[in-house]
Amino acid sequence: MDLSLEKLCGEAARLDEILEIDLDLNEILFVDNTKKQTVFENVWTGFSFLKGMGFQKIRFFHPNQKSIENWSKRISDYQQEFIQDPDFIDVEACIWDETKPDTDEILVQCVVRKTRDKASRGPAYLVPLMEAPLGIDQAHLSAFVNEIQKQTASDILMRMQAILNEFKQESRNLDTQIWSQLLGDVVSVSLENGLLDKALSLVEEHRAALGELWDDSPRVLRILSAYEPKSDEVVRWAKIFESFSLEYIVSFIRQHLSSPAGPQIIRLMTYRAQQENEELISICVNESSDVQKILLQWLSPYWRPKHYKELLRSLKQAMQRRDDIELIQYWIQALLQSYRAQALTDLRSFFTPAKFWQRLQVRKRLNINIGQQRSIVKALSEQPSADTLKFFKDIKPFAKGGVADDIERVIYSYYSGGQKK
Amino acid sequence: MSPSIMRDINQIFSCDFSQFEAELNAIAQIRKHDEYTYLHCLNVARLSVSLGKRLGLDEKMLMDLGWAALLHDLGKLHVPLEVLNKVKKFSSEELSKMQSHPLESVVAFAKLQPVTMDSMTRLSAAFEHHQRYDLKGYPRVKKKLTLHPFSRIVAVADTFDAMTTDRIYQRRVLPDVALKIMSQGFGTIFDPIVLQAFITCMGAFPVGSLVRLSDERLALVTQYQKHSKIDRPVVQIISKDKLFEKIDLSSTENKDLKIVHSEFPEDHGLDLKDLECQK
Repeated sequence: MDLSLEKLCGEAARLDEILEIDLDLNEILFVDNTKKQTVFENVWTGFSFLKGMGFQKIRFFHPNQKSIENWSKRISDYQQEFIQDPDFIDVEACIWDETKPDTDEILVQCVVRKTRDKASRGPAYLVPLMEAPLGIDQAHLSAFVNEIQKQTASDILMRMQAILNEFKQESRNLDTQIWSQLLGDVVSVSLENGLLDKALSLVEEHRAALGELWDDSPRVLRILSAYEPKSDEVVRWAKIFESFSLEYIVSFIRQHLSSPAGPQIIRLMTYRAQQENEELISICVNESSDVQKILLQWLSPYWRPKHYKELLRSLKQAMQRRDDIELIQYWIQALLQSYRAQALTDLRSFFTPAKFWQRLQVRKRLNINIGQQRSIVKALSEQPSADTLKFFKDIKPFAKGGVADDIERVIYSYYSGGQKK
Repeated sequence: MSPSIMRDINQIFSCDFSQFEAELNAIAQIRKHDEYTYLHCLNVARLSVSLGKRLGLDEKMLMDLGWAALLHDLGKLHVPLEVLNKVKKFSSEELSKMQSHPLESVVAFAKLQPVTMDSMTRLSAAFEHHQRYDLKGYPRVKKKLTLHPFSRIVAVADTFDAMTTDRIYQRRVLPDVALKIMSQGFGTIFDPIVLQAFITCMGAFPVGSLVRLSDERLALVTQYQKHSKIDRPVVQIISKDKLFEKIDLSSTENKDLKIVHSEFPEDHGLDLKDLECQK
């Protein structure tokens, strides 16, 4: 805002007629020693600023219009700085007076009020009450309050997304762990509010940074439990977890299946098993039996002849290690799905006596007990077909005790219309 | 949880503190880091909530606004004390450190607790309160979004409190003068609606101002009544450290009396706290 001394002092006044302005008394002193009361703020609020900065008077030593303009421009700039952030103006470093160019001759001088003691630091109860009448247009007021009330989750997240981007660009020495946690939280909040697309756009923008997030189980569980995708959303939803490794998902299955995130862990695993079944197979064969029992359920549609050798090895290991009937059954089912004819041939060898050449390789032949034989029978009985019927008939002569009874019952059920007893 | 902090906050707005343990912890950290910043945060919260009440915000919004204001300077936890309380001009490095506190608040909020929808609003206020209404402040942003309404309220309250509080490196400005100075930021630095509401609610001479009347008497502004004009509050005459008669400057019988200007209480050896007790 331009300072107009003419306007301040009246039409007739000239710059060189003003001697002094008293900011406390709102008074102008002229060279002829006359005084005039005025309201400075109506002309130039810079006077309030100067008063606020501790100046009591402004003295004029015949400045020309140009000097006044320079001075008032500088004071206006200081004022803007001060309003924007009162903490950062250094009163002592500011140039308050205006001098003649290239000389020390003062043209406008700001005179400091006598020094005063500072008050003690302001405690909270000295904040003024706001009880003066609210002279503000009702329509504007309602619009402002509406703006607060109508902030949607989407609005808040859009703002947050912008803040995250600014923060990322401006921050030096970004703590990658904190950063990934923050991103994870914002993704969670998006999902908690049903904003799948917002969550996806956040992930797309910061995919690399999410890497560290997957080590933070509570946050991963929060993201997983935040949203239950509909069937047509699963593919998009699963993209959020693209960098979440299968090993981690498996460990979550092991540890957090009973948590609120459980259904989503299963959903994610089902999708990932479709997409990455070969990787999951590699993980499965090397996992503990408890995890194998879970993973084998997901893998059943993906067994191919090329997996057969690995599966047979895993079945033999399972039978050697312990009498875990359930696990043995899962492996047998996998074996059948992988290469059925070969599986039946190999399984038959667990019941029939070893041939001569097999006896020569006695160390390689697996001896299995009756319980394990029964589990093979049970697993196969759940896959009724002509070839399994033939299998049972083939092994029947070699079966003994309870195994023979089981085989008898299974064969009977084939002839009685699938009614097993 | 510190009982004194809860007491201080309870004087500003009511809330179930058991829901805000992390926030209380953050306030305690601010207090431990720098007492001035703590008092400043309380003042900003008090001013923001008072304005919010006058604007007609409901209890939930007032509580959200109160927390946003209390935590607006959380990023200052990351500014070293020697920079925070520096007496002389900041070097460019120190200035940049000081001006990084809105950015630092993002980290401070992330460390506080897992971010929620509510804490995002608080975080926004902490990030935006120096950005100015025209977005020409700091931190400089590439994507220009209108500031959150809470950020606009906190920005006004923050500036007013910073101007009217004595600092190690700076004398304070009288409240009425501060309002006049701030009016220059109308529509550029501050939201015009918020600033107008703030100034009109405060009155030309806010309650608690020490003023010189046109008959030379010194008085304390004690109240604005419903019918009061912005520059004609109820005042109480001061003489020899004591409060005497109340004068309603809005009443016709006092139409010839007016406030000339405000003055610093300490220039008259007065302590406003003592005067408050006499009211």
